[in-house]
Amino acid sequence: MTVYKLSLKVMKSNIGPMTLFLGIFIGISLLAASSGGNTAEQLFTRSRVPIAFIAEESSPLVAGLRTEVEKIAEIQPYDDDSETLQEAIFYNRISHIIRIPSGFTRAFLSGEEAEVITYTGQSEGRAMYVDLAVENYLNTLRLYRIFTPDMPLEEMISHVHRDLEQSSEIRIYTDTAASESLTVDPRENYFNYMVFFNYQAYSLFAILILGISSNLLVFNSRLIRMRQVCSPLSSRKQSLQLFLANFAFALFCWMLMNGISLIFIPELLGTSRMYLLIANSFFLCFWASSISFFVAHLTKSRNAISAITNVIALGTSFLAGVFVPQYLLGSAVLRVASFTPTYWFVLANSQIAGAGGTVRSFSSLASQKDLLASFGIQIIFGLTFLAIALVLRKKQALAAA
Amino acid sequence: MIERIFLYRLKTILRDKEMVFWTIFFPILLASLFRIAFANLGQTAEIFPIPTAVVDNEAFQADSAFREMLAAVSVDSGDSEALLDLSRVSREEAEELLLDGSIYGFIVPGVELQLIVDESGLHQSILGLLLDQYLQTSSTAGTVLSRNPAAAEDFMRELEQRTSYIRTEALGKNSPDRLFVFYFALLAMACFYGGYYGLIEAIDIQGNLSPRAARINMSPIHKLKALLASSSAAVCIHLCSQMVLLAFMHVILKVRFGAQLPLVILATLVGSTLSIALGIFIGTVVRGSENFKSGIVTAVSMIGALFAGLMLPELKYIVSERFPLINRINPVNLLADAYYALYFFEGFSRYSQNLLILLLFTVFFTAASYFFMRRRNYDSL
Repeated sequence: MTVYKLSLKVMKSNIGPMTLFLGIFIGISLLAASSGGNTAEQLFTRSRVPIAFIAEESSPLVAGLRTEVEKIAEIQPYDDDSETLQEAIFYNRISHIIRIPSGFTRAFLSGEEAEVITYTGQSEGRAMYVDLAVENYLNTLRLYRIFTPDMPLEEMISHVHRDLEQSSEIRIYTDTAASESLTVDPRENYFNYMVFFNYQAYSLFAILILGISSNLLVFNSRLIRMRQVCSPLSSRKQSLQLFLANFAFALFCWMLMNGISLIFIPELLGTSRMYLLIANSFFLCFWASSISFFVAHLTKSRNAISAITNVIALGTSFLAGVFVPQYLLGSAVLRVASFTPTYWFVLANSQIAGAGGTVRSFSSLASQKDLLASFGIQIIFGLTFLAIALVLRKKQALAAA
Repeated sequence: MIERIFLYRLKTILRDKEMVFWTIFFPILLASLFRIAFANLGQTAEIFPIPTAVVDNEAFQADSAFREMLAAVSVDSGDSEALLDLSRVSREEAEELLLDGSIYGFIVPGVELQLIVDESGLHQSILGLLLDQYLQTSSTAGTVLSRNPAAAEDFMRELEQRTSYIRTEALGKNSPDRLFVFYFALLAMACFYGGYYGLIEAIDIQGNLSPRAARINMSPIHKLKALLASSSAAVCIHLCSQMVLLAFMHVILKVRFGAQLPLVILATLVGSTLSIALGIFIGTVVRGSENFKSGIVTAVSMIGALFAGLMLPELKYIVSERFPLINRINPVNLLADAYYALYFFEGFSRYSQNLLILLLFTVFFTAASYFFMRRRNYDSL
């Protein structure tokens, strides 16, 4: 195991930058998980969005509108100052502004054209619900104004409030036929874990490409290659030992990352799905090291490694739904993404967590088969890249000699 | 002498073809990937029609208004923008459809209108909203028609003529856009890849770090002149690569820079210069192997881009709100923020403020590097 030992020695000399990167990437994962999980997902949920409500006049109608909006949004105390408002939108402190122009009540009640002006920030999806609430309130009030013109305005408004309180009952289907209410969804927690593990597709992948490429840079220089060819050790054994040493490094990073995740998310311990999530992360570790091993044979420039890392780790992460949920990406993108192992890693995570819109709850047998398929495809990706890398290595060795 | 150093530095840098290639193409590749991945974001076209089932029970048969409403929004109505792909089935069939994943949920008509789903998500929320809206309108109809029974027909007609009372306006110059936070952070990150060029300059000018530098140290040129000449070569090449990226984003990806292209280029020039000054600073001040120094450059650009919102736009806001100082000195964020300010704000105060801080950093790093490397003598090289 001479090559194996030497390779570990080279890694030891790289320990400084690698510790730095491990620290950074673990930090990234934790930051992402703690920053409220997957924020792209929240874009479309009916959580209370922070908004500003600027009324240039006060009337029972405007007060009623405010009450209705307050049911789904958090109205922040902002004055009508365009600079402050711009800055608030810029920093995403509020995601929506509703402005009632003066004269609105009179115009609305007399049936003239009346308009509420809104400004949308970045969370357009969530602001959609606020707009919907405004439209519903005003349209319902319009019906009362047209058909019960004798009714006092206050009474109309209280009718509108009562009408708009009507809602359907949403239940989660369970196998025991007894349905539980949607309000307390036990799977919600899994969702945050899933986000944390999804981020490993970026963080673990990136550190493996960076680390393994810099390790192999030493072995790939022409002179050392030529020396290796002279050795009585077969080139296949050399390559395999080299991969093994780098896989040991990968395993170390993997253990550290998952170990720390268990420290920071202690709730995960002991849950049945933890083992599956960690197993999936192990498959990630395998194919990520194969791909890194492959990539390391493509470059000879130390400074290019970081650029390549970004293209591969960040690019596949964006494409395969690490940062944005897969079901929001569109089918064409997902078809392309399915040619990357990252896609299958993310899919497996959501299959385990039982969330994401395209997958079913984990309990059914069919989805267990799906999960096994996602695992299997990741392993195949890993083996394929490893095989290509070994062939490439052999060719390069011959060319060097 | 200065022109000679400048020219030869140009040649030397261009010889590392791999690095030049990747620094130009990595941001172009990533920007294209963003574009592809986010092409669909915000478009609802692929969400509709939502496969749904309704349980065909007695209550469903009895409620003709509900049947009509569902028929009007489902694919069978012939509407190409229909909301639902609705099948009328028995309760058992509906449960089977839900379990094998062919529908997002099923509706159970009755005294209480129920929606049964097997997980929460966007499609399910839309189904819920649709049913809520139906119940709310029915409630209004109940009140109105009990007082004004003659109005039934007019009521249905008015209902269809739902008025839009909302007018959306842009608050700044352009509406804020998550995609642009990504683009600008990427542009800024690519800019700070100039740090690697700077690093090479630092290594090639300190006699103890490379044979090339040892040779340059033999010449009787002033260190500061040599440093400025060689780093201008690096700035030139890096700026060219940034211009290729800008052109690509502007022409092919149609990124709107708020119409002030000269100001965008100015910001890029300042960012380019700073990134090279930063690389030289790291190469001179930090002790350690080339590998370690290169790791620091990577770390600075990566963490900087992370806090500027490259991976997750929200992170930019979280950091800016909770730890404002970090993003006030994070060069990647300052540059990304300058681009974004040009895009969003009408005035230039934020833009010029950011640029000023970047310039101060440049002067500081250059001066500090010079003071570290000046008057160094070597006993033997």
